[in-house]
Amino acid sequence: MTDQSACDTLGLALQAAIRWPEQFGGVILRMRAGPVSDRVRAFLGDAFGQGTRVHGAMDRTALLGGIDPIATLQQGTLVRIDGVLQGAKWLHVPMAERLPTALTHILNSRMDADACPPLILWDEGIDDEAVSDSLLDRCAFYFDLSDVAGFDPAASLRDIPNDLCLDNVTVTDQQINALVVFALQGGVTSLRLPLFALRFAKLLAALQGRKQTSDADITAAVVTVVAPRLIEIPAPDAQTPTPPDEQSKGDAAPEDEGEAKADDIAPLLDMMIAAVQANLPKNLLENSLGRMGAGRGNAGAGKRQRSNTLGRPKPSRVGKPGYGKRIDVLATLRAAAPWQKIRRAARPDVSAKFIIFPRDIHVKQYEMPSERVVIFGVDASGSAALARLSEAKGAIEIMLSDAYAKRDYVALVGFRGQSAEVLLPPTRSLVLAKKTLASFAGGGGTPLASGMKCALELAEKSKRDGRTPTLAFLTDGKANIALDGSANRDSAMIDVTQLAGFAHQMGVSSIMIDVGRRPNAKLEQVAVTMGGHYLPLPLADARSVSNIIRNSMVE
Amino acid sequence: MKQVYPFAAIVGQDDMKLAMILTAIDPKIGGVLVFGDRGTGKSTAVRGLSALLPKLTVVQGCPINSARLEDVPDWGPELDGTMVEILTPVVDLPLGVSEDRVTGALDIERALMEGVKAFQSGLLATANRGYLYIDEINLLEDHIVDLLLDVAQSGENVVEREGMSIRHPARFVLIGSGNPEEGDLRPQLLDRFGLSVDVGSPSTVTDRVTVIRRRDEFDTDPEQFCQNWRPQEKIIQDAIIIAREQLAVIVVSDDVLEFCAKLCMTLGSDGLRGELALLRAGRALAAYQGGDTVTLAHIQQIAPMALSHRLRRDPLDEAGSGARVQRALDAVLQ
Repeated sequence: MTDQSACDTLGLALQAAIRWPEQFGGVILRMRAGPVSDRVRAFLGDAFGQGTRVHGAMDRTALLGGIDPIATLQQGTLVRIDGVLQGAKWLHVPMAERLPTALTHILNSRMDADACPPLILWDEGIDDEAVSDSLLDRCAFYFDLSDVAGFDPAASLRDIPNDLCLDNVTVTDQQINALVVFALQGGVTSLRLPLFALRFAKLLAALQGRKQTSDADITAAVVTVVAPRLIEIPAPDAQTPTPPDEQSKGDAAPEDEGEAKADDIAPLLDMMIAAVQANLPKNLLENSLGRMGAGRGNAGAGKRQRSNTLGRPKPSRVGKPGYGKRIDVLATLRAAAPWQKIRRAARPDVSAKFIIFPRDIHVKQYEMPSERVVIFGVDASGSAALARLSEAKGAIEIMLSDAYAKRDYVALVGFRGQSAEVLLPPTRSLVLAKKTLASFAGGGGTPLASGMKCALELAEKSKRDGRTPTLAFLTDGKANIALDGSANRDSAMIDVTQLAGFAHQMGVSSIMIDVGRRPNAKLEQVAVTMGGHYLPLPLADARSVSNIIRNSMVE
Repeated sequence: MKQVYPFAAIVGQDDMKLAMILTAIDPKIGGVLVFGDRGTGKSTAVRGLSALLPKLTVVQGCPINSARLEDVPDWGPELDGTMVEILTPVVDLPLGVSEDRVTGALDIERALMEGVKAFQSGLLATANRGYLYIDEINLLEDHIVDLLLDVAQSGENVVEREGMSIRHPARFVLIGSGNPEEGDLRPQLLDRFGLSVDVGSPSTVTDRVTVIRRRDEFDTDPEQFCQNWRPQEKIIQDAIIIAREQLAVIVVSDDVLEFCAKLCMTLGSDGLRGELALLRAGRALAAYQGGDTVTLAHIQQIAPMALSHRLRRDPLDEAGSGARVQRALDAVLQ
């Protein structure tokens, strides 16, 4: 796709989303801050008026409106403030990948009620950081603009008549069938997307004054709406539009109908596939990998430790309400009480029985224990016997099975052969863990250094997400592969010691479980350098490993 | 008023629809837990059901939807006892909601302005006699979950805070939905749900096309669409009304009870909730299908729904819980 045609589609999508939010939800733009994103932003402001910015620190009142306590006290009459969801022309959400779950949820429910202004989300995530799946699902348009260099706003604005109505446009059954089959073959299971594509096709037809969508409309809609979400590209020679294998047996008539249609949708399907391939989304595979690797959860919102709304209450303090802080009424009244006589004397005109000044207002404070994540680094090399691996898997499953109570996340880094990889990103889901762990096998050299590096990177990422990491290594410590992949025992050990020093500096608590047949003095040294515990456990079994880790974790 | 997508027009998802209908017949069954993919019509179903159920008669302006004037709580506003008919309330419990908002709290507005200690009711009050819908219940904060458990169990909301001491009835059917890949639910909470169902997005092209087509028709002309579906809606509505009346006279034989008990013992489910859920759901199903006794077939049909979430979680057992229930059913039947 040339940049210009991409920009035209983008322009139309933005217009459509802002004009019909209840039809299209919104637009997600994946791009980093830069000149292009500035230009898009300026364009939006010029074309649609100033949007309202939504950021992660906003609370319910800020979004949905409520009472403004300070203004109320000052004026002596009830002052309500509008939330940004009321009356905003469109919402501009930068860093949407870090939107907290609570906020996402409010947006979702407003969108479901068709009461949300159009959303323009900026996904500035790196790697696997992305907008929450639920929002992705509710926005019709997703554009990856990371590599777009030129964007000419003026040229991309289309003239949409004010009385344009999408409801009059009809779509043939054949087109709907092809659309659904295409999405399904592409691994898009959500049913919202085909609906969005359908509406976009209607828009394209309506713009040209037609009452019936053409095959070209529906194909263009597929390219714009469905293509960026594809997990795989449907095969071009899928003459077997593999439909309905396990169709319900009961109703013969509709089934026949479906079969009949399967044949006549083939040309349209091929047309879609050809069009999508011609405009191949750049990082289709990355996308799909990112999406599939669930357990991402909410990627951000680091300020977990000092919470305004959750956890154990702490004494209230003087402060300004809003941004999620709530008034402690009793403390506020108590603070104002001693001054009543003086205030009454100073302000005889005030009719209120009790005079409260804004500086009396106390806000509640809560303290929430930071969520913990246990990062297992498991040695799957030939020297550390396969049994360890299965015990580690068992330990992870046991820890997860009561993770709900302990607020623990569990992650797994495996190292063997030349390198290490994250096998299980931090998750609380037993279902997901089981799926991932089942397919991991062992064998090969012992790249302990790579394993430590990978685990440390994960620990740092967890810290960014506001969790407290604990590292747990299960290894025999016979490191024989250096960071650069060379099989050199000495340089491997040097790398390991260096990384252990890093770990100590990072202040990550760690535990080194030596699963070798005899305790390894070198490994003990590494554990000391890391500032962690060392524990020889020649017969590690799942239950004792999980107990040991639990006991050594920072409370 | 904005049209609600008709319950009867939801394609497939028979288990979910049946579970919701059963709780509508007998709210004592407890809530429904719906686990599954996004965009499978969970929230549409709850709202559709509320629109389909017979209207509730309530005292106008009552914060807890009381049916009689003498039930209106004394902390509520002064009412003249005008009765109105409303749709069965469906209250959304958003994630990140504060405790005050759920239970109700001191009315800050009036405290600041008038210096009166008044109670502002919360979501639990609004949900009384209706449904409390929690999307992504597995992501709900623990302290809110604890609170809900307590209220769902006792049917009464007790507020002891900020110098207030208030209690009011809060009987509602909990409907929770979530995606198990994003985190699990605590067993204590799981157990409070009477029924649980797994939903997936429709797997056949025919079904998916039907979903898209119906939704498109609905979006284009909601009034006409609802009009077209009214007869089907009426059938379900009538069946529910009749079943509610029949519920009291449905006979449950000792054999069936024994079967329930054996089944629960085989599965090792904790406590007696499993048996009770089986019994109540079986009775509601019998009433819904127009029978006068609960048969083994009824129990078999609802056993996976009523029991699959009560099994002790065994991290080392590979089989899904549905399969375990089926295994136990087979074993007990022999």
